[in-house]
Amino acid sequence: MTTTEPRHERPTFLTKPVLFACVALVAAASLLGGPVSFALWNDQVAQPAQLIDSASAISLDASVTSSAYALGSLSSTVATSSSGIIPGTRGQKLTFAMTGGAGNGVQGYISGTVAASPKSAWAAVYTAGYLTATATSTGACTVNPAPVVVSGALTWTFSTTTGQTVKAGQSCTVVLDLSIPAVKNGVDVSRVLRGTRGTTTVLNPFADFTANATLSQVPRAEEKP
Amino acid sequence: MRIQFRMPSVAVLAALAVTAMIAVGLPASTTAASLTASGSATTSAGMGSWCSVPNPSVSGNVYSLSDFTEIQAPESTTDTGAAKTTVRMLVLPVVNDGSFDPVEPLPAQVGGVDNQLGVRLWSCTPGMSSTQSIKLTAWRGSYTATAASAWVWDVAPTSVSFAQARLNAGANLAINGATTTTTRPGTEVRDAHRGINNLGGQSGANADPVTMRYSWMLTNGRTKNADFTNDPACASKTCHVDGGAGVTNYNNVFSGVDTAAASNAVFQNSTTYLAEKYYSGAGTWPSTTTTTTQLQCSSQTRERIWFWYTDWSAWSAWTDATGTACPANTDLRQYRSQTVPRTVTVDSVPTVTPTVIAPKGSNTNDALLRDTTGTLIQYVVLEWWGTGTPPADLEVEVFVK
Repeated sequence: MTTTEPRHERPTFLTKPVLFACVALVAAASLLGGPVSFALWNDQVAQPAQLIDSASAISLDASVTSSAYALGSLSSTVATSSSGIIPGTRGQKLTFAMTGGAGNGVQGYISGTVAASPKSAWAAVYTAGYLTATATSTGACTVNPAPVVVSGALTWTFSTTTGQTVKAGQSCTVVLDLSIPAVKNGVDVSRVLRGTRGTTTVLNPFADFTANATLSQVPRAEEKP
Repeated sequence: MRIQFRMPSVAVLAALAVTAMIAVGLPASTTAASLTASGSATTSAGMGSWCSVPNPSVSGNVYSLSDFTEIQAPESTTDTGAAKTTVRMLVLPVVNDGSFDPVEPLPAQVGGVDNQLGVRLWSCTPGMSSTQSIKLTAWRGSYTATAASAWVWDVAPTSVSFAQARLNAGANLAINGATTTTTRPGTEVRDAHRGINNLGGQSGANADPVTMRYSWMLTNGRTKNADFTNDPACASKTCHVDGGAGVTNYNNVFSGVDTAAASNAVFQNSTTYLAEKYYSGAGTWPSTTTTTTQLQCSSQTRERIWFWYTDWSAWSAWTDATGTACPANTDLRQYRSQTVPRTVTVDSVPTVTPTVIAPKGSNTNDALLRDTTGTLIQYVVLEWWGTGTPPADLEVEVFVK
């Protein structure tokens, strides 16, 4: 009789280690994503896009242009500079354009602020009640026309228009219209504000205006056609 | 039987690899992860540069030359067919009711006294017409008995402000004599200002009364660089005031440069001139009274040389004792004379005094308009003439200091 050594049985595929691995796999998948997940990644909207190595990274371009326009004909005031605000004579429009990148593979929501950072002439021009500043918006966002006053300065907020998203190449535009009337509460403004005048070539700035905007990807389910 | 597990390294590594793949490569579409991007843009806004003059819509006592009323004024009242001339003029009743307060503090160098009438010329035009002329005068009223119907207004004064009021000066009826109850004040001061029919002229029945109503504001003889406070060259009753005596060349009296240094009448882009007058009190030309010795003559005559003389005649009119003595006696007439002290009053060169308008107090508008002392109301005439139209920024501010 020939005695043979018992042959070692090869483990079946579902051995305990493999089972552990499978359980770990399911647990990892559950933790990492999906609507049933308890993970709270969707709270981390501030996570820099560049940290995610995704083929569909998004971008936002922000730019501003400034243009002067005539308020009307006022015989008692004669402009001696080609730019800058002149009471009753010339206003200024600041156009902030926030444009989603043309290559954005996803749609987004936009939100942000336009804030004034006062300069030395701010008190005479704005605090004294002469500056009129109105904000309007076009495109994919809506600005709240009522600014928040913080430390005497102004901040307007804007966000995506309800029911819309910012698609690739689409813009959100906020226009700040700055002007000073010829007469305010019976005051001859162009005479009163003579001390704030710039020169024929250099403006006397009363504030810096800065737009800060953030574009955040919307869930796929909320993208618009 | 004891069972021992040996971790198969291959399986463990495979599990770790799968987990890593899931962590790294999980498609975004299957997660709630979101991509974000930020952008920022900044610009500044500021004040430009400008030159300004007071806004007439705010300051009722500021008048743009280009807004002066254009009228056709007759050159004569004695000739109904006389030519008329185009005049741009405002006739303003100026009282001290607050509506003529200076729109801005007056520059110190112009001097003057409280409540003095004056004008301040404003401009933002550096190079002005050298051919257009301007003339600004003020007149004491003479309208105590003027009929209500003679007060013709373009804009009547209100109960609170005279600054917007304008007398109508367009009537085709210039004065040629003493003021009557039907004389239109606006027309009279228009023609007095323009020197029609010897009004204020060197001769004629009206010379004295008109000159004694006149205050010098801005006519030929005043400039922004030297003569803004000098007395006008009009030191006698018969001094001549007429339409030709305005200031030609606005540059002589306006400052259109916002950065002009303060000097004489100039303060930046304004020039200031104060009103002065020659008469005193309620319009009496000043005079001096002297006591002198004068000669009187009397005479008596006879018909024949052997006849008795008749009675002496009455003493003749006074004559200056230093002049011709009484005539020499003749065969038929003899003279006697006497010298006596005599008081003589003569006109004198006036000391020019500021034209002052007192606060109106409780006077009614009617009382103010009918004042004849010149201390409650002055009728101010603003006029320019010449070819073309002055720049819109040329203004005259009429103020009571």
